[in-house]
Amino acid sequence: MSVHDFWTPFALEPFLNALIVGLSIASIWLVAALGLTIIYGTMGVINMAHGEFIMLGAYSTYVLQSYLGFPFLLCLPAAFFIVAGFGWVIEKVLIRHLYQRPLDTLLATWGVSLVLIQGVRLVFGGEPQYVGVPTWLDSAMQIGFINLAWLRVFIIVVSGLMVLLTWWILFRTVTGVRIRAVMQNKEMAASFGINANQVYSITFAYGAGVAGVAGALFGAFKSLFPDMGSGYIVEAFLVVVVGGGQLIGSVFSAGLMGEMGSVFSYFTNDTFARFVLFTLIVVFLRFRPQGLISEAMTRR
Amino acid sequence: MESQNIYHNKTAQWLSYLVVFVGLAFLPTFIDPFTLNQFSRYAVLAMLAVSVSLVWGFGGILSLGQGIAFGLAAYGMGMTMQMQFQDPESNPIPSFMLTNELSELPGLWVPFWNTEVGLLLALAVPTVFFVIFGALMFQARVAGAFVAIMTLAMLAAWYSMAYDMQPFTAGFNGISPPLPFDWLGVSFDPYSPITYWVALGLLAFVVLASKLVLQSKFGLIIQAIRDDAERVRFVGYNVAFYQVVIFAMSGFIAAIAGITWVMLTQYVSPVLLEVQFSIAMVIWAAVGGRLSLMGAMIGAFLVNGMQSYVGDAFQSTWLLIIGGLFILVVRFLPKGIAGLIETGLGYVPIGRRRSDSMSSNPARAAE
Amino acid sequence: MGMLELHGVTKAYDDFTVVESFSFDVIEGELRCLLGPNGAGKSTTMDLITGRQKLSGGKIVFDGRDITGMKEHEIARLGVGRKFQVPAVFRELTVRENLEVADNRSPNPFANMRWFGRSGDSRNFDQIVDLVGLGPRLGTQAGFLSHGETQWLEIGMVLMQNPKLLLMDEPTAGMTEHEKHKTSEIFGRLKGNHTLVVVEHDMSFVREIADVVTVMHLGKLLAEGPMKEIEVNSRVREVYLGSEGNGHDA
Repeated sequence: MSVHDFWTPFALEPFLNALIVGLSIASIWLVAALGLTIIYGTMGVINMAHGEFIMLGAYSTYVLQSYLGFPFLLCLPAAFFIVAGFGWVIEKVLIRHLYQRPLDTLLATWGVSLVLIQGVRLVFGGEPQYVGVPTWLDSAMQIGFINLAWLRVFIIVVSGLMVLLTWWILFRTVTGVRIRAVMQNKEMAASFGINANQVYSITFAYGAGVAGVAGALFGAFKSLFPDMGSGYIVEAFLVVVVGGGQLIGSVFSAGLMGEMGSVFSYFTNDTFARFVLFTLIVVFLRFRPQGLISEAMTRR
Repeated sequence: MESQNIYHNKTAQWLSYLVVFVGLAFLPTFIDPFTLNQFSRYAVLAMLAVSVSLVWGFGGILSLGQGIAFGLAAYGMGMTMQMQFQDPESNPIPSFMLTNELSELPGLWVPFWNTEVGLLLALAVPTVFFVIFGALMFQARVAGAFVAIMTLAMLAAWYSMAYDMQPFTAGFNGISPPLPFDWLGVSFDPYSPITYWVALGLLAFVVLASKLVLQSKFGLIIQAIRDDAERVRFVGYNVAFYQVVIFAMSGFIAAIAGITWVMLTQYVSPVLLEVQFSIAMVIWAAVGGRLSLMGAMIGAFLVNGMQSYVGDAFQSTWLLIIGGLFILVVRFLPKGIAGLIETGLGYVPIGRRRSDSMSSNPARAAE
Repeated sequence: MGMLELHGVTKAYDDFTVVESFSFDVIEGELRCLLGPNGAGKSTTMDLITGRQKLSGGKIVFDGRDITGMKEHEIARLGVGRKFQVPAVFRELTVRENLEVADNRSPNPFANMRWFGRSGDSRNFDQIVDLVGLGPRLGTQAGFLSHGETQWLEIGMVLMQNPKLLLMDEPTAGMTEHEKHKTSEIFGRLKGNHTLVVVEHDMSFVREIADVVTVMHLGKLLAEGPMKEIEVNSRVREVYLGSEGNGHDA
């Protein structure tokens, strides 16, 4: 293997295509990380079962579509409510009891993810399942030299809409005010009559629901496996951590990471790009542990 | 009043270690070579659980990247054993490289011609990596869940490297040295008692050295850092330095485990660098008791023993069982099995049970 | 020459200034009280001296050395001990272990790996345990101590560091009258042998222990002098005593 094979020389059109692919990757990471951002940003909970929430969203879509004949577009909101309901229950029976022990939440949710993977494998088997998409999503968009599957365009659009929706909820509704109050100071929020436990339940359910939507989307362009979620979890966490647990931070970090990953893999290859990207992120966090965007630090 | 629980008695602790290791040393008398090999493997996995207990239970650093040290050392050992099989004259290149169109041995592999250099590299590279990685994190005061995420990311990065650098690592297939490890005139057949004793001896070394370190003042300071790192800085200790040392120690232990593992299995593949495997190590330590080296050890033996024996019968539900068990332990038994034993022994009056030479003191026994 | 000298120390964030060109001197053997209403910048000043926060301007000299910009543990090693406003002890360690950790005779991790001796052997240890009155509690896990005992343990820990300068942030916060009395006894015994800076809200406590009092207001020096003068100082009465009604942040 010579250096020449390893290193792809620069050419304008493929490079521009790589940037557009980067945008698509970024939107996928953003969708995967959005629910995690809300949960981590508000509650400080590291939910290791997030990937499995995505997986549940994908399998919900599969079941609704194959057994109940739901159209794909209707599956998106349906997956949201199914997984949100599931998240609500998990929060009530497990997470709630571990708020004082953040590292333990991380571990307990890892246990949840193992149970979910194996549970789904028992019910649906280990072989891949498929979600069908409408024909208009099944082709590729072709503008000049730019070539992108419509499904990827659709994901970019949906991820944008979901960010807007989340932003609207957080900054334009009463529930959002409550969530942000609890986020900044739980005790003080409580003294103003805000029920922090209720806020946590809602937040966790919403974050889970968003993961469900992500699963419905991912199911459309990848086959479904019980352990498909573990493929998203590391990237999703990095998006959240680099973004500082803020909504806008996650948008930036997903964009940056997606583009950088795509450009690196254009010049080298996918796995080497992943290695370089992850190493860069670790170095970045060394110098800015609070991430790209951070709230003013509070001190005792 | 000092603690009355025999669980906290240091002499009793050392005695129990002695009993356990001497007992385990006689195992080859009773069991067949296959089962013996299983137990050798558990001993290696127990080293990993001990490394987790040390860095997480006592140091408060939740590392999900122990597999990095384990995997890198395993690759180093795999390469060393592979090169023992190769011959400079007649057969200088491992066959998988030929199928990957390499015409000469890559520079990365050359040092492994020499077994001692190979072993040294297998131990030193992971340890040095942990020093650098740890310094990077702890000087920036990265703590808590962030450490978990960063170690996880680093592990995932190494996994893809091992997977992808096919000409150097044989990719997904992994390296399987055809002959047992041969060193100092001894051939370490994976199924022989001597190999078992080496694994057990290394486990004993790892556990007892860790125990000693934890009983030193260093051990106290490390636990103080776990409780409140910031406060320790104002006492005048360089917290990052201490964290790097304990992190590198745990990496070194994982590296010893990695070397031993390949000696026992004659096989190394990217599976060792999988995220699931590194988190499994945390599960063993948590189930056994993160705050007890012995507990972590027992956790590794128990969970892996269950997996081999019960797991065969319940193949399809094994993950369900271990996942559920783990949730229950984290939720209800944060100190694991060791915590149960601690509570249990709390009811045993001290001075009566352990030995006759310790004359029972009614005033203390009444406690 | 002062043991501790602050020269025009300033701490500012983007849009507001917490401490503004604040200067003061503490001489060896003195017990100085730092007073001021909430938000006066007392705790921030403590943070600046001990390196917890970085200065925006000015200079801090301790024992003849410029310590501006040094790290927390370096400053602590030079001989500055600090007790926090919210008592910070190692809750999962016993009282004895807490004191042993605080005995920082060697900073080197490798030296400490070979150190199995007990600080309990030193006469210093017995004296300090005796002073803070925790002798019967040595084997107790620190998390189980009462609030007052936790405060005394932290004072003991600071003393175990054998510092040249002790910074005490609200040592009587949350204490009962009885506990306060015992604490003032402890301070009485420390006075003279040690140099202390004490941040305190409790006026009667300050009256009992202080030599010289420095009053801060809105990040600046308001007044400095013996307690008797300060109590009749009209500016102090205006900003501090006048706001005392809502000034307690226990």
